[in-house]
Amino acid sequence: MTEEQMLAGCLQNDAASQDALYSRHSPRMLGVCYRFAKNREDAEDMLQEGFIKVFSQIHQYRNEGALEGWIRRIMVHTCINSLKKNKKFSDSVDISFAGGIGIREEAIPSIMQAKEVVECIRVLPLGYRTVLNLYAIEGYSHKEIGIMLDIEESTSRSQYTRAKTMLEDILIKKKILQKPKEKTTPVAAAI
Amino acid sequence: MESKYNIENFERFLRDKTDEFKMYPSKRVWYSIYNNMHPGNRLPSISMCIVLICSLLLVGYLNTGSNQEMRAAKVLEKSSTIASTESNSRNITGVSMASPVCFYNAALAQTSTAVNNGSADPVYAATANRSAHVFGHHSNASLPRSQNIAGNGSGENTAAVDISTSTQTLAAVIEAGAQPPIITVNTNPASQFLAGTDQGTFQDVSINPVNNNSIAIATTSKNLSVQQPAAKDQAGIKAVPEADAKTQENASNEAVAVNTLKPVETQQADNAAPSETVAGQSTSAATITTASDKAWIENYAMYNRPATKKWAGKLSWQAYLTPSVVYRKLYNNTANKDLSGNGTGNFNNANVDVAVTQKPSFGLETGLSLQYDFLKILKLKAGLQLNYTRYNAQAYENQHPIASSITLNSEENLPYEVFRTTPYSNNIGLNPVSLHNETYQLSLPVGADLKLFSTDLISWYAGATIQPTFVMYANSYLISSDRRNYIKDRSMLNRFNVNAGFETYLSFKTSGYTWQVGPQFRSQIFSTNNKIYSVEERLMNFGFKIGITKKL
Repeated sequence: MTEEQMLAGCLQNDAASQDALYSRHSPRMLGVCYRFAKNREDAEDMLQEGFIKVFSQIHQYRNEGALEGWIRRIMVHTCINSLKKNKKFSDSVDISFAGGIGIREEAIPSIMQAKEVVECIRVLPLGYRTVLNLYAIEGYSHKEIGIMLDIEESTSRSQYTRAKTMLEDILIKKKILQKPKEKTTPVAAAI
Repeated sequence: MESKYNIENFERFLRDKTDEFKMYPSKRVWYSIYNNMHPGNRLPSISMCIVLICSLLLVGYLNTGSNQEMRAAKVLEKSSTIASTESNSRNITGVSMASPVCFYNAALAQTSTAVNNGSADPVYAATANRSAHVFGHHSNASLPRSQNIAGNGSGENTAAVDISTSTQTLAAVIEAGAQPPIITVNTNPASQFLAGTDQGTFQDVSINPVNNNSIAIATTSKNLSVQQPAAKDQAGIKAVPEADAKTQENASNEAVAVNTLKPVETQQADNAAPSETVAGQSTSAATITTASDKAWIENYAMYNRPATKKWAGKLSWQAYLTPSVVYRKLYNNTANKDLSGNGTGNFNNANVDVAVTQKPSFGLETGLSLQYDFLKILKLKAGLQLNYTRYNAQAYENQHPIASSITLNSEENLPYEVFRTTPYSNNIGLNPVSLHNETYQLSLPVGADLKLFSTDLISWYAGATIQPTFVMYANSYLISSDRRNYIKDRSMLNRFNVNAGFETYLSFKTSGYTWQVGPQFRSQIFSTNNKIYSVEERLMNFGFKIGITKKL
């Protein structure tokens, strides 16, 4: 079934088309939700809510960009709304004051490749993780993140910097990322 | 691990890696989406609820009425016939299959005993081959993909478990926990064998928690053979206790050999390829031979996480207390609405509910229930509940009992009178007295709560339950045929009944707990007394429920 056929079917609330669309996009979208969620069950709840929005608002899709991108934006917004609704989000980590949180090395999971990277992201505190997901992976600007999370733009910036530092440390310890090679200065080279 | 990325292209690295990441959702997600998008097709689940409620009503109905004993006798008769048939068939099956009683923990216990006594040279052997699969997602525990495990003590304290490859799956999982290891083996009359003194077949093996280690084994092996006694050299790989003899002597009697042993040498080179430590305490860490094994194991662990969390956050306990006011309504039994001129000369055809002087009294309900968040707006619940109901009839007590009668229905639904003596008069007497019709009930409420409105702090629910009820004790005063006297008689009490509960309540969240308060209505569906008695009594409770809920 082509994407056009799926879209046409979904517009008519056709279950087979919805199933096809869901089957095609749900694995990647669950990966997106999983990065935001506390656990797999929460991620599946977010995915479910997100796809219900997708199917009920499919008529708003204008064919102006990739369908996956449109679905992905709905998923991200659903995840953020879900985190906001959950009181634990504000209780667990105040996004403005998460600076002092450390990560125990034994908490770093040992999962391979992409899974390992995602698991390392999920080790981060919730506030850090959310900003990092939105900025580095989803491509939102700090201004947009500030509006989405009800925080200052500068807060988003500082949180991202800290999250990035923390994640880099983890990835380097796991030997997934390489440390940048030290550049020799001309003076040092001369000596 | 070599990486083409470095910190300078950190964002690109994250995007690339996370884009590669996919997870496959469970079927439940699609079903929920489908139900949301196509509400008209939800009928199967609704019809299931209706079937459930009807079944409960049917059970209540079957336990009500004059034919109760006859029906019960029939059911018993049928049950005994079925049981007899099943028993026979089991016996037949039992003849054809062996009776292996093999508990792996027994073998482990023997080995452990040998270690503790210090008199033996316990050898734990483990040979791995690549024909099956093993995973372990805790860093300190793993097992080879497939294995021949032989526990070998000296002399009689020996036991060997050989898991050889076959076509079916043997899965054994040891999770962290405090319980001692237990391996249970289900038998199967298939063509498998058990070597040595015991013979039998095994299809499923499960291992319960072992101390603080987590071990997960999945293998395609099926045949287990237990050899008792077994020679030391039978094992493919020998393993000796990791700790010295002193340590072994100090080991707890509950210590498990698996946790204290590691392989040290391989006798058969062919079997040595993926040789791995069976499991160890934190000091005897597992070794994994190849990167592909590790990748497979971690991949398996990633997508096969314990399913126990599925219920987490959706289950909650509720304890509640409901003081209530109990009303009752009396009806003439439909079979006896007009009995004038039918030979029951004492029968008063007046409205029985008007003929008696009665006053509502108090009742009490308390119980525990387990609630499951089926949908975001729908909670299913079931529990255990105690009810006390009381209703007062105003009467007079006479010094001497007088003769009176009550009208009953025969099995052919024809009225007849039985005579009793009673000191209680309905209209005229010496001492005013209040007669307490009371019941003590045990109920199993099953129902659902629907969220009507919700904010962050407060939610409004409406709920309904169906409550199969067993009446543990009752005081019952029956009105006489002529409506002039009350007769104390519990013999016609309906022991089984069904109640329906309806409630609406506000739910407040506090730290860790949720409080519920709201009105409740409970109605008894069947009469307090059975169909033999010519007057039906229906109780109605109007109460105010106070509940407290905690998430599990």
